Amino acid sequence: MAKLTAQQANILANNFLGLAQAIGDYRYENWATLSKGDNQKLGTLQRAILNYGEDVLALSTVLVMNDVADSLNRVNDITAQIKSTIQKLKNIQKVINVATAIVSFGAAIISKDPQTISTTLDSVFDAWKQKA
Amino acid sequence: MKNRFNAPALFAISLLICSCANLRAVNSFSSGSLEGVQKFEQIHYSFTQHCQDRCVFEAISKFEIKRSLECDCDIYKKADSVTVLIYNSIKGYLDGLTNLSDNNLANYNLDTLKSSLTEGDFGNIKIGKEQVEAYGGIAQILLNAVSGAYRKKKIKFYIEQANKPIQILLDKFQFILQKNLNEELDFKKEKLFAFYRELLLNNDLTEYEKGKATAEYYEQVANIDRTQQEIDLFAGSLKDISEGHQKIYDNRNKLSARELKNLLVAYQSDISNMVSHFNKLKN
Repeated sequence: MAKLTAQQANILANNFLGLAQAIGDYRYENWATLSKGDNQKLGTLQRAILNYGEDVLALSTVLVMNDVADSLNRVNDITAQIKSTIQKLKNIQKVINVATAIVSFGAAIISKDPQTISTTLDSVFDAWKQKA
Repeated sequence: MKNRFNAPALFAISLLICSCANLRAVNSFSSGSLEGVQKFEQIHYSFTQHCQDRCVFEAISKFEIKRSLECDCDIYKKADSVTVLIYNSIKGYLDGLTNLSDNNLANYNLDTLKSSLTEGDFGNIKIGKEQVEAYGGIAQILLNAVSGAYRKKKIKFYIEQANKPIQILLDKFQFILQKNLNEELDFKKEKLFAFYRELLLNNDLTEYEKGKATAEYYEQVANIDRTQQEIDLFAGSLKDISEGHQKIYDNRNKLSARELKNLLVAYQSDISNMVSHFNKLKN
């Protein structure tokens, strides 16, 4: 037997709603003439059909998973790739900052000033530790 | 010397302007879509909520007072899990696309490098301040242009890869909300209708109580209608996002930035209208 699809489940739920409405209309129109027992039985049936219809709509949503599993994986995979590209682009600024600090450090060595060498070396480490 | 200097600069500037503008069109569309899709979090109705409301309503109908209601909502919780899974996937993708196409992401700052060069003393080699600024400026333009072109290429690749699965996710997300969740509320309305009709037909109420019950019924239906409008409005905008994405995909190779922007205007405007109507309904 073929499996129920999300679309078919939704149509089925709609049919349940129509059926429950028809039973309800019949009860209200014949309220005075229906026996109490029959009316109660019909009322119970009406409520049960409405509950089934609601359950089937939730089931239809769960069945959607069969249609989207592959797409979900693919989109999540692409999103991970995008995030990785973003990170690489952000890292470029970090590389620039480190390079800048190294240039200053090189200049300090040439100047032979111990104080400047120490400060600029700290800047190299700071730039390296900085989050991209 | 002057001409040699200007040619690459002009090329770099034109490359930068061209890539930025294209990225801007994609950024504008994806950020608008992201804002629109996040309105989902403001829809305060879910399958689980529906199940719990049903449980309470049944207890009220039967005048049942219990210390705690036992509601079997497993299938409704699963339905919410599927819905949230799809939502997060769509949101994650749009968020990534928005960030990647944002010109601030790769607007690299070379100011400190330029100043460190000027301040540096390179033994016998001396670089004039003007030269440093000129070459530093070109380096910055080229770097931004190259990164812009790189991002454009990447975005084109991601849009190509994502187009089909994202269309499926958007379509199913719309189906879940517009067909399943919204129709749960049709059942809720039908149950209210049945409850109040029976209450009035039973003739146990005074005229005043009948009036109160009738008012109560219409008030509850109006609340449900408002929630249905919110869901419907939101779900409708998912189609705009889907069509807009398809438009970018279809024209990924042939259109200028301006043309692409013009093609997306209608979708962006529809999404923006949804956001504004949605906010009005909420207030």
